[in-house]
Amino acid sequence: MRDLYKKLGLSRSCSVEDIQVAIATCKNKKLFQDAEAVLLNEKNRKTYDKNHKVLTSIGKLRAELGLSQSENWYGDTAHEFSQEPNKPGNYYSSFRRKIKPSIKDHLKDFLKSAFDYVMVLVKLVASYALGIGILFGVLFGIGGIWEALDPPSKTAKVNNTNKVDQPVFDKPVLQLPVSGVVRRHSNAESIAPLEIRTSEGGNYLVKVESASTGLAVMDVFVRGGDRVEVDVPLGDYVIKYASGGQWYGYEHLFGPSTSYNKANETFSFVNNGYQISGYTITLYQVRNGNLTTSRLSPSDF
Amino acid sequence: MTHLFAYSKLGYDFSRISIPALVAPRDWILQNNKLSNFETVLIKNGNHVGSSVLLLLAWIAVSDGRVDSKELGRLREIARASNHLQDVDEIIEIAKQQDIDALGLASEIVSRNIDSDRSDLFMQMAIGMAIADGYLITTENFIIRYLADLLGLSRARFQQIFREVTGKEIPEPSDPSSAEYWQSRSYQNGQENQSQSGQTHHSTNHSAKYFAILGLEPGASKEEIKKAYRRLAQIHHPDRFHSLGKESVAAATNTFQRIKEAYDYLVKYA
Repeated sequence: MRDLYKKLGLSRSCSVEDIQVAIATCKNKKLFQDAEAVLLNEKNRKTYDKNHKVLTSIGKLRAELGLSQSENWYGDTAHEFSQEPNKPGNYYSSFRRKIKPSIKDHLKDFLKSAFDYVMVLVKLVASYALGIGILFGVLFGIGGIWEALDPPSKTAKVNNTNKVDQPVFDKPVLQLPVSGVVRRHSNAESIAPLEIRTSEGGNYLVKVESASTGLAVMDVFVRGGDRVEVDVPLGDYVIKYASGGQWYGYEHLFGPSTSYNKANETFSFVNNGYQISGYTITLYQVRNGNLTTSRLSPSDF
Repeated sequence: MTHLFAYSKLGYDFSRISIPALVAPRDWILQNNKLSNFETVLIKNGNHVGSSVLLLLAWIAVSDGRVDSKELGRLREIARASNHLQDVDEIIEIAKQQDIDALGLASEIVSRNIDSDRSDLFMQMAIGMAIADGYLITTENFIIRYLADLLGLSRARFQQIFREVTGKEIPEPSDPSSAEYWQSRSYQNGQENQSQSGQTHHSTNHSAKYFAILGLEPGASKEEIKKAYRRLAQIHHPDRFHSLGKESVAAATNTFQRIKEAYDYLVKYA
C-alpha cells in the first residue's frame, strides 16, 4: 500500500478541499487516479485511513525495534511507511528503569528507613521511661494519699493496742539470749543431764517445770540450730517450750507469733544406783520420733 | 510512607533484615514515577507478559476501526479468563489510540519473553484470533506480519504456519491505495449481488460466514466440512497454549468455540 498523504504532502486529517487542491496540481498520473478514487470517495477514504493509521504505527514500531528490514515487510508498503528510528529500542529499558530503583534511590530509602528504625528505638525507650515514671508516681501518690487519710501509724503508744481491731505489736526487738540456762528457780543440786537440740529457723525458750507442783525449775534458751546441755535436779518434770523468731524479752517472748508447746511425756530424772538418767530432747520434727507435743495457750506456758 | 525495603513496616520487629529488591514494590513505583497508562496497567496487574499479549490482541481486534460489541465481548471474555478484567477497558482504549509507546513496550516485552520454541505457538494463536471471523482484513494482515518479524520468523516459516492454521495460503495484503482495488471491489460486489438473488438470503449469509470460518468455499461437502473442523479443532485446542499463559489459552478457547459453532451450524443446515 502506498502513502498517498505523504506523496501529496498532506496529513491524514486534512480536509476534502486540501485534497482537491493537491490533486489538481499533481503531475503523476497514477497518483492522480489513485488519490481521486480513494481520497475523494468518502467511504473509500475511511477504509484507506484505517489502513494508513495502522501502517504508520507499524512503520514507527519497526523503526524503533529495528525491524525495518525484516522479511515480512517489503514492497511499496515497506518502502513508503518505513521511518527513521528516533531512539531505538528504548521502550523496555526505560520501563525497566522506572520499576528498578537506582542506587541513589536505594541510598535515600535506606537513610529514611534507618531514621525510622532509630525513631522506633527512641520511642520504645521513651515509652518505657514514661511507663516507669507513671508507675512510681502512682505508687508514691497512693502512699501519700494513704498517709493523708489514715492517722494511726507505726509510732502509736503502748496502751493503744486494745482499742484497735488488729493490735499493732510494736515492742522493741531485744538481743537474742545466748543458748543456755537463763534462769534457775531451784537451788537443789543439779546432777541429771538434759540435752536440748533445736533446728534452724526458730529460737526456743524451754521451761522445765516440776510435774507435781507445776513450779518452774529452770528456763533454758536455745538458739535455732544449737545444742545445749544443762543439768537438772532429780525429779519428774514437764517440758514446755515457746518458739519464735525475734526475741522481745520475757514478757512477750517471741512476739505475737510465738508458738507455745508442751511435751506430752513426763520426764523422770532418777538415780537408779548405777547411773543417773538423762534425756536428749530434739525440738524439731524427726522421723520415727517418739515424743508428741501439744499446743499451749500463752497463759498456760 | 512506603519504602523500598521490607522493614519499612517496622512495628517492633527488629529482627527483619532488608534486602534491596531488584524490582521495587508496586506502591513505591506507582507513587514515585510518571508512568504512562500502559505502564500503570503493567504495574497494577503485575503480569507484564500477559498484559502485553492482551494489548497486542486488542490491537488486532480494533485495527479495522470498528469496535463492535461482539469483538469487545470476546476481548472481555479473554480478559476475564486471564485476570485482566479490571484492566481490559484501559487496554482496549490504549489499543484504539494506537499508542506507539505502549505498543512498543508490549512488543518488546513479548519478544523478550517468548523464545523461538514458542514463537510458532504464539503465531498460531495470533493468526487464529485474527481470522476467527473467517476473513483476514488488510490491517490484520499487516499486524500479524509485524508480529512474525517481532518473533523473528522468516517469511517462509510464517507462510507455513499460516497454511497450517487456516488451510490456505496467506494472501498478499490488499492495496486500498490503488484505484484498481476499489474498481474491482465494486465489480465483485455486483457479481455477488447477482448470484445471491436466486437463493434464500438468510441461510446464505450465515453459512457463508461459517464456511469462511472453517476456511472453506460456500457449498463444500459434508466430508470437507468434517475434515476442516477436525483439523482446525486440533490446531486451536486451548490445551496446546498453556505454555504461553492464560491470555493465549483464553484467546485459543475463543477461536476454538467459534470454529465449533461454525461446524455445528453447517452440519445441521448446510
